[in-house]
Amino acid sequence: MYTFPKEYDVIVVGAGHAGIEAALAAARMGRETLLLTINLDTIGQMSCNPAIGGLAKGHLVREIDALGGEMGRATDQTGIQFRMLNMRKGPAVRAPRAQCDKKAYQFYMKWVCERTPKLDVKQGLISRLIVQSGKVTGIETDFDVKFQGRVVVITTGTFLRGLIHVGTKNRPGGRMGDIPATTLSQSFMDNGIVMSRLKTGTPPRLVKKSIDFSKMGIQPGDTPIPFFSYSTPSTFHVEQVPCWLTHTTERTAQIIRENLHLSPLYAGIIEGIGPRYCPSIEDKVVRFCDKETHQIYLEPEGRVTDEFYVNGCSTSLPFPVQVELIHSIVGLENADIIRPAYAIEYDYADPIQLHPWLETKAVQNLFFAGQINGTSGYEEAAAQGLYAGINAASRSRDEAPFLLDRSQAYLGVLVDDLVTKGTKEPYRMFTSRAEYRLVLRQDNADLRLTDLAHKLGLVKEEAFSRLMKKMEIIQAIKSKLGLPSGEGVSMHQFIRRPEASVERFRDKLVEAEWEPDIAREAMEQVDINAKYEGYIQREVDNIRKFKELESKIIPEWLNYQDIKALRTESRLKLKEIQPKTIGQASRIMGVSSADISILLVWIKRGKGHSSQQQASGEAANALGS
Amino acid sequence: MMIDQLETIAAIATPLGEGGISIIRLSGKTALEIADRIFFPADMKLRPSQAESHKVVLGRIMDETHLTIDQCLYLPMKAPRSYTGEDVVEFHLHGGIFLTRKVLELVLSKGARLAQPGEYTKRAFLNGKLDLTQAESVLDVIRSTNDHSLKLSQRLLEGQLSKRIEDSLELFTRMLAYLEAHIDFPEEDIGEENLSFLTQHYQLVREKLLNLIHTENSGRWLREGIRVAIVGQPNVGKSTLLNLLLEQDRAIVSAVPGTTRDTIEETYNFDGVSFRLIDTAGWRNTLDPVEQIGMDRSRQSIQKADIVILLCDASQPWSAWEEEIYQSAEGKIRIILLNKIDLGLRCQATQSAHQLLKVSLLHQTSPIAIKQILLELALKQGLNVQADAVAINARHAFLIQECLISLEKFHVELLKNTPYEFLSLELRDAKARLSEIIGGGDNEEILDCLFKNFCIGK
Repeated sequence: MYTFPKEYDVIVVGAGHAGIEAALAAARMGRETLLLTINLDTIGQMSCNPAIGGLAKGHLVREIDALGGEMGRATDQTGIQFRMLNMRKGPAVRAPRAQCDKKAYQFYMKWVCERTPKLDVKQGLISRLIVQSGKVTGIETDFDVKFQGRVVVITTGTFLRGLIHVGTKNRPGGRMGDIPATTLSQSFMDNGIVMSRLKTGTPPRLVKKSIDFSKMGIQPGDTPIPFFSYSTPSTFHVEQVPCWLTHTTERTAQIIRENLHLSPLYAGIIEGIGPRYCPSIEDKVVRFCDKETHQIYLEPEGRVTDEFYVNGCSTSLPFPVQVELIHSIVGLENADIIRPAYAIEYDYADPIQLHPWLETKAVQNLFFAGQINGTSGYEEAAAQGLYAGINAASRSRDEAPFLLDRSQAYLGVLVDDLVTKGTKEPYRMFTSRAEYRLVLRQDNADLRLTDLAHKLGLVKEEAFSRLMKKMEIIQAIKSKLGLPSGEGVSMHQFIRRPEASVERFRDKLVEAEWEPDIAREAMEQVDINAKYEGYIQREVDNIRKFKELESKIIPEWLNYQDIKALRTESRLKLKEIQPKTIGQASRIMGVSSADISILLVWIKRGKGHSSQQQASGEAANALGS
Repeated sequence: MMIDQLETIAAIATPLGEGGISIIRLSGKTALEIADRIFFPADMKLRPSQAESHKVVLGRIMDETHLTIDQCLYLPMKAPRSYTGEDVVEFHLHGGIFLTRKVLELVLSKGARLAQPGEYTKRAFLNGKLDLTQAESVLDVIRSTNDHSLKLSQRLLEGQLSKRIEDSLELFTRMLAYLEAHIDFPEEDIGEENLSFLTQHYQLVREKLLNLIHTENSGRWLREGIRVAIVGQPNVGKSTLLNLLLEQDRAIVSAVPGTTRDTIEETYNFDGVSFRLIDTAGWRNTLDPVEQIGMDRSRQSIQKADIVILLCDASQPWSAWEEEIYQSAEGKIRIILLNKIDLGLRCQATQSAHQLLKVSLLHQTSPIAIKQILLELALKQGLNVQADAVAINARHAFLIQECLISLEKFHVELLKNTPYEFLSLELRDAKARLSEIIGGGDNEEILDCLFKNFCIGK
């Protein structure tokens, strides 16, 4: 065994969307960081669709950007089609979505990682963890190299004992064409972490020349382009490429029904649980049999490739059935599959085994992020990677964890859901999961988070001074809103009308020397805050109540075993999850408000108890016993 | 001692529907502030929050429009010298379920929230108002209070109620799943936003909830008894009727009439339903003057009653007094009992009564016929004594009403084409109130419903 001479503060295992953000965050916070990947050519690979964002996911990317992460910038730099979804709805549920050039995205990410100071990128397959008295101290590769690190972040995606299914055939693989990590899971289990199985899938890819686009609807990008990063200027030029919309036919359903016994899911070969919101086409046909057709989007995978992603057609049927199935779709009668669809099973660890800063409870200094925590999606992975990276860096300096709560960010909702409720199926973010979504908007991610990231040293000075400037301009505009609008009411009152826009008063409100992008964003903030004042205030009131419970810390000495008044079910759950606050405890499934009352009383009593014991101890001493 | 005061809670501290006074109690950081906003002392210079602690103040409770709801007593108990250790204020009202609830609603509209069962006690512990050595037993109390009320509510919820609440909750879940599907999956093929889906479900759930509200009477009747007022001029036979119904043949001991709070009630059971003869103190006094006092007293009795028996002398003409009393019982179950029919019939009573009986109480030996009539009238008016009876209590009724208020807000916004995320907020509020009745409910079930009903997936 060769021990690599350099000792790292943070080692990140896996260079997917989670690993990249974790490594970049740790390095940017000044920690000596190592990023290890099985294959350097697939850093930041989009294993499934070539798209970033969408509802709730787009929110996450905006937050990642506001916190100094890379995903937003990478998407802007390599995007080939951008849209803002839900423009007809209110601002809280609008979200950006982009198609990216897959290869360009990877090259961009690899290049950023390579040139980031304090970050070493290396190729290597990890075979096991090195753990000494409950604390991780490094890792070993399959070629007998030992890397020492104070903190280790694991972001293994679908690679842990990955098993690829096409039809009833299967073989090990981390992704089609890549080898899996076969021994690392055992290393986790040896250290007391429970591993389980999940499943996901991806559709076939088609070659452009075989597709008849004339039978399909065209879906162009939006102008002006809704970029993800606050740092991307609106003047950045992108030649947008369209997506295409088509649908399955009655014949498609018939093919599926006839071949269902060949699907590994229906044949009972796959044991992992798949995502409900991302069902395979066979699932859709079976579960929604009264629906005659299902829509299919064709998404280009890049500028310098002719591959198309068949969105809506994920399947694990055998290849010959896939061919027949694709040919039954309108416009794909002669389409040529260049990569088959497949399903993949992989190991994950139920995230209730984590602290709220994503460190495992079983092994100190070991952090998990991304699909290993049971999530699905690039954005969910990247967000956790960033969070784990920040906390890994803090831990390597023996500093307190960095935490975001449910009222601050989707990232806070994501992590709290994971560590408090756990997950048995691939977890995806939805806006409906965020109870304070009216204030957790994609338009104000910088106002919510950039200041925090600046304190951590994660954002560049220019991003921070941009934020300061924006806040200044918002104030300047607000201070003028009380002036008459010329319509008999003040401008403030005028723009509260649903159909009115603050843009009408641009001349009165915006000063010429302001940077146009910042001024536009500031005007948007003013408009939203005036229009939705009542609703926003309601959320703010609710958040205040939430914070009250969140500020009640559950002390370390509390031993649930002693509290006989708790119901057994609650006691077990509380013991397992070890909530940090009363607020978190109240969100655990099966813990009732009566249980919470009992906890509060115990905490109060415990304080009195210990001081009483102390007092009686002192009294005993005074008596000379 | 510095007390960390919590969100203000409010509750009716006396059993609902009982006569006499009812007390509304508030505890928490804005209790005094709320008192300032709704209570106006007779001494106009006095601000309720500045009033001396533990001293009673006379005044009026007024709503936003400065309409007086009730004249009442106000009792502030400032932190930490109160039961909970927080600022506590009490309003002592003139009883009456309607009035009490109105004041409670007013208090809630000023920012207090409805207290959970046992919450005052819980706060008392948390604020160290109870000896630490009592902690263990206190835990048991909390536990058992909850278990007990849980059992109670389970018993109450047996049969149809819990099912009917669940049915309504299911409708809410479906509406929310619909909204959330259209919010989170704009790219999916789930159909256009469709106003009629939401309006239909809105109407359905509204109707269900209104029906439930209407069962409140039945529930109260079963729990607390049906309240019967017997009114009539002196010497028409009220005491005789009382004795007959109570099946007492001992001499009547006249109760000393005092204030209107000196209510004496007698109860009899018939076929498992209890009937409460209210304000018997008043009309046992045979010297009851026909004049104003008699009229006022009769009116007060009528106000509290579910069933009003107007007793008349059949041999005397229907008088203006009787006509007025009869009219004032509008909305109640009205029975006109013409007594002393053996002396001839001269009385031409109003015919719109639910029941007109001609009797001679002196010669009546069994009360069964009259009791049977009272029970049948109650049954006709919605009393449900079946085993699967749906009956809700006042707390349920209150929560359902709150739910309906949020539901109405939702409907108003729906018609204004308000974006779905705001509609969702209103609906979630409404659903949360309803969930409080049977507990549980979270976002997962909305997602379950969503993925069950909409084909989502790329």
